[in-house]
Amino acid sequence: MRHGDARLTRIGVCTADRAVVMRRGGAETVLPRAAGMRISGRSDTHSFEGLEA
Amino acid sequence: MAGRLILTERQTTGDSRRTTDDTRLAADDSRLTSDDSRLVTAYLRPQPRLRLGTLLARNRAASACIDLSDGLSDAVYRVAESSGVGALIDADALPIDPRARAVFDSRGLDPVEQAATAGDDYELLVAVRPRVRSRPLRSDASR
Repeated sequence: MRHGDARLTRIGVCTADRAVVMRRGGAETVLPRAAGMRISGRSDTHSFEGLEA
Repeated sequence: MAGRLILTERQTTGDSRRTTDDTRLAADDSRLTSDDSRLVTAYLRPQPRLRLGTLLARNRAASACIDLSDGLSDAVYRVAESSGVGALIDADALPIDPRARAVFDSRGLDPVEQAATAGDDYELLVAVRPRVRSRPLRSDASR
């Protein structure tokens, strides 16, 4: 799928259980928490109003 | 709750998916190729997808949407925890820029792990209900 200059890639699905896992090579492991980037000092996350939670 | 998790990916040459501390530090590395330099430029001058995000909100096409400024996994956890669901991410589907993958490989770093945990990328993670399909894509929202 493409949208303007953006290509949209399906990377996974939401699941009923509350585990957050990554499937890789047939194995499923808990998705590691993001380390984040701090060198630039940018750590803000933007959200968009009007979306259903 | 069932739903798809979709990631935006910039198509213009010179922009990238995940960039890392290493990529940032590579700015002064004389061994950088022009492709590597474009990765650094993408890192230093990110272009948030404000228009697309606004359109997704306006159209109510997404059940959730968040940028990746604090990393993909952080975004997935935030969406999952806020919605009371879990998530299954397909590592093979992650759109990792080949140039970024090469940089990670050359430094002995796992590109998938870096793509999942590194931040300062401003692509969007969008949760879409299965029945919504490509509705958010039918209007112009290139930025």
